[in-house]
Amino acid sequence: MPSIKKKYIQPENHDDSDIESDTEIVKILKTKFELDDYLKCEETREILEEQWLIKFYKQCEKDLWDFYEEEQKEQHANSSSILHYDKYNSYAGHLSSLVFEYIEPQYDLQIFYDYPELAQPLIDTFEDKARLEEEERKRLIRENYEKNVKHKGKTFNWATKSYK
Amino acid sequence: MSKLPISLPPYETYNMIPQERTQTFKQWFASPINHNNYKHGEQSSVAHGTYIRYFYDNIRQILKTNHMNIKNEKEFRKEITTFIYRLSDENKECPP
Repeated sequence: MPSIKKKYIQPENHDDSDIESDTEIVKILKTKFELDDYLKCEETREILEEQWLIKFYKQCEKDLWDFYEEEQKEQHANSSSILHYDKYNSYAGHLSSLVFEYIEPQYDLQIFYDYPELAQPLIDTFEDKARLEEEERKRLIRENYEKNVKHKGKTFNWATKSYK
Repeated sequence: MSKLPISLPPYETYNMIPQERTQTFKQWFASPINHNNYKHGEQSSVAHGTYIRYFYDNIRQILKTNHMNIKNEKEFRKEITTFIYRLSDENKECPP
């Protein structure tokens, strides 16, 4: 199996082949890995979670804050029993994080396709796994050979053309 | 959180001493909001529970507009309810 790692690690003086290499890596990322693989790898999972948090904050945190702020102000102005203990609109963030906890995450793998170097830890894990699998395969072949071969421990005598 | 509490103390907020609860959560939920209506001098007829429904529906609408889905709606509703409850006072004019 060609080494992704070797292909991926670039020399310091980059040239046009970098783009080609990146495209190849992206192709591997798209075909070999699924979302679950990214989530199983700690480093890539952290990136996905961070991106999702940023997306949530960008997309709907402002709406949540505005809604809460408006409610808090109105209730406070009317000396209402509702939100009575939040006099200074200090709980909008609390509401926002509560909502975040209950939203289905929308992970987006695009960041790894745009910046494939971020997926390096995942690629490393994949390569290590492939290497271990290959070692295990060789070990099993060796073990099988030891167990089943007829002339185990014997040497071949070329003069007599037989095992001794 | 599996069940809504019988009663929970308010959040401890800056510069405020929380009042001890005299009502159960259920009583509070059904009681009208204490609301100073200076124009009409009338007691609000809207219950705390009705406000929670209004609040929750608004949050849900915000999420829907932003194409986001709630994971566990039942639990989420409970959490929002608890959040409002712990930030709210009792209506002192409505004894338990």
